[in-house]
Amino acid sequence: MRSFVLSLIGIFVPIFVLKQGFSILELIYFYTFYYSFNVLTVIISLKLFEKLGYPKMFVLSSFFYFLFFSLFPNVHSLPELMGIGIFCSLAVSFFWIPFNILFAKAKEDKLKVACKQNVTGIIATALAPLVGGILATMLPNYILFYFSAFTFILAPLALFKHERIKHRRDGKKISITLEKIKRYRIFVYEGFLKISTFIAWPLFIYFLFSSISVVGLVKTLTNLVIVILSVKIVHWVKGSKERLLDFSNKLYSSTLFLRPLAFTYFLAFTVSLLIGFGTTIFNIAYNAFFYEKLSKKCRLSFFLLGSSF
Amino acid sequence: MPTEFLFIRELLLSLGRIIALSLFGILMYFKVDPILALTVLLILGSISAYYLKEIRDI
Repeated sequence: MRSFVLSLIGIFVPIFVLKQGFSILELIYFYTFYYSFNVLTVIISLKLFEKLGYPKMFVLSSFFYFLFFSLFPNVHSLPELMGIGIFCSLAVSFFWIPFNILFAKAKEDKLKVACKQNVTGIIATALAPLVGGILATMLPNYILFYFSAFTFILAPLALFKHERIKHRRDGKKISITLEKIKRYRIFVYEGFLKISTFIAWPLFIYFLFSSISVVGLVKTLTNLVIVILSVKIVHWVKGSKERLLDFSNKLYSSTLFLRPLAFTYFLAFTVSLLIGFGTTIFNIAYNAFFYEKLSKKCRLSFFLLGSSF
Repeated sequence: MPTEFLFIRELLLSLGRIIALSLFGILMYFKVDPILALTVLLILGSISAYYLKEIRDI
């Protein structure tokens, strides 16, 4: 459900905003405001998560998605669009913070966790643009919009079952130093990559072919490769995580480098196939490392808390 | 601490996103063709992807 929704965010939200009559510059203003506000909502989310735990956070996330999508069709000016961006930012932050901690706490080998997450998640991801692409071809835009909204609202609730996992208060104050920012600078690269993948890539295809259906079909093809490869890859990744990361990173960045060549339908679909290969292996390796780091920090936090009692 | 780690991560993710959007915005402001502006973003995105392998060292 999460991946299904993520796929819809990646493909359709920038296009919905453009179809609503906003210009591309207004779209950029919207996203810039949205990501700036995100820093504040992350603090709110972290504080609330310590008090409320997983289920209530997922319900709150759904609630804010509901507000965002209820108001979206009535938005016709930039200040209004930025205003409802606040609800979207709250919904996203309230979902991602608990979600990441949830996966970091899994007791299995993190490579297996990342692998399973990819296999189950990507099947849903493949369905989203396929269904969205077909609907976009056959149905009016507003049907596609409400269909997307419905899945956005339901997605956080799909994780509601994790009620038994209790989160303990961290207690430490957040301190940000230049040294820490330098140490974690790769997340700046990741942020840049996310815009390139989730906003620039669908817009690039949309502007080239002037069709939302082609965007959906290109994404579907990528994801179908990912699904097929993900099922197989579970058996391949028993070796070293470091080697997997090295190999997959080169493959991933080189396949992404081919995206500007998608000038014809044939090239667009070929590039999508290659991106599918690159993305699958790299996502698994990258997430395995990320969950491992986060897991270590969770354990350290609990150890310090335990020793202070 | 997980809270601090997650916060710094989200902060830097947002910073990266804002840099990308600002670059796109600047290119659009100077009337660069949208396809060309998006191409710049796609190429820089693939270069960013290469540096993500540093995740093992943090």
